[in-house]
Amino acid sequence: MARFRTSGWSVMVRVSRTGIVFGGLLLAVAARADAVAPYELLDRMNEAVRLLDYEGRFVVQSGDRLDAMYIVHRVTQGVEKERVVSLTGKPREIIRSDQAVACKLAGRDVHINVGLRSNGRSFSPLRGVSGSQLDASYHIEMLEPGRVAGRDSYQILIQPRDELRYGYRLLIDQVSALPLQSVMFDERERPVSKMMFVELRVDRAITPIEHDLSAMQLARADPDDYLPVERFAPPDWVFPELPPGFHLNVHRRKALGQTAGEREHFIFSDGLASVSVYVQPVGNDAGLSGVSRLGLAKAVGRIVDGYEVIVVGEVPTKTLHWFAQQIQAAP
Amino acid sequence: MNDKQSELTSALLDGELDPDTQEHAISAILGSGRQELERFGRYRLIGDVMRGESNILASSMSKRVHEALIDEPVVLAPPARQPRQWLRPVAGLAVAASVATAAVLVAPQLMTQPGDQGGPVQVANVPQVTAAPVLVAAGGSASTQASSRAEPGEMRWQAMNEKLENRLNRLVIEHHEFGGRTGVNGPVPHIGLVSYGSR
Repeated sequence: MARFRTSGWSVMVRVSRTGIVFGGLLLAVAARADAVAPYELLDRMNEAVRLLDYEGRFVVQSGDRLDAMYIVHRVTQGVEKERVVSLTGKPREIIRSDQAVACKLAGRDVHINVGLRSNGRSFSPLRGVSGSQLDASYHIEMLEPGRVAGRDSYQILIQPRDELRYGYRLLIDQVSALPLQSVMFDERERPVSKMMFVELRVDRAITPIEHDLSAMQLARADPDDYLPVERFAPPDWVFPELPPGFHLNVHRRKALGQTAGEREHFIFSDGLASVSVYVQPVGNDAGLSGVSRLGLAKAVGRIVDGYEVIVVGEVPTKTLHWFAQQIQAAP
Repeated sequence: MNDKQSELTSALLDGELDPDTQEHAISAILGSGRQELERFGRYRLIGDVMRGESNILASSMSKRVHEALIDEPVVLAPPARQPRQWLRPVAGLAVAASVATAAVLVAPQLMTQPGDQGGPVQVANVPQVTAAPVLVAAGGSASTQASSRAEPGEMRWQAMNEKLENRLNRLVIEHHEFGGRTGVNGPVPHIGLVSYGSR
């Protein structure tokens, strides 16, 4: 009986200890509730890259290639302006104005100019998906915080649940929510590409892009962008079965000059990865047949009923093949 | 203009007022100052354009709307999620309440544990939550893997004529621009495209 005897003092001590322990647990729970949720963080990052003013230098690695780049991004009266310049190798540049985005590629006298008439809203596929949708395709978890470019960062791991998409490990600035480091990896967890800032300034003393008038003048709307198209006409092509997790996000048509017909553009996304499917009448030049790649981007091409189908994306090749094989003319 | 006045103006322009009330509405508009007169003018103009009674303006506006819609993609994605700000405190309270309930239920058992003589109470073996990172692609091993990767970053589309190459470059840019940016590959969607033309 003695072993069960309990004095009033010891009860008080144990009650107070228990209170401290559970008080601690309560605090821990409260702290956990205040911790950053991964989806919220992805949302914040998603907005930060489009809405903040920032300037910095970063490196990009893929395979044995390593390049240094400079970026300045400003938002003036709701319009994004941006300039990205290569600091290594032959000069290359991306300029984004309120009208268009222009890419000057190495060894090319002409630049590629794409009108931005529909991009003023800075559409983002991530904004349109729910946590449960992302969960269906990815396992997302927070890792230990890190530090990049002298800035404290959250670390988030996004692992694909199948082999139809890549995974990501992101280090996101704790203050601005800008991505400071990104590693994209394949189904065997081998890195496909890496990006890392080495210097970043946000919202202060950002170099005005408008000062470089010659650069801004490059980014002008393409005259073809103004040709009328049947915007609300239903798609002429269908995809009976989509890869798991992918949904149609955008359908658009673009006139191909005055006489060459139209190109239909479908954009599918699982919230993070996107795939574009282009369909247009077969032209005079040799079309794409099979697979080709440029850096992270891959393309798969085939001919269907006299139309050229090109599938583009930064996803495993098997995913591109899925779309290329599924497309068929609408009944 | 208050709501009542707005309704009155709207009804006046729609011809829904009896003569007496019409007079009252007109007097109110005339007596309410320049701002309200301008508002009345705008309402009237909108009505005219919508009914096609202002040919010049209607034509001009129709043209502008048409131009604005050219090449606008049909965005099929659902609208952005609204963050449920109220959920966090509610969830926090719910979890806290659960823990408090557990404390009430478990505490008496802890206090009357057999064999306990009032010594230190070990509540539980709380595992150390050491967020051991699943190292996927970082550090030295990642570099090794990257360099041994069989798929190097090509600087040009493989086996392409220049015309097709230019076309594919454009399609990739359009893919990034119209597909939207998420930030997972870095701040700029075209980094991959531009960083491979260097050598």
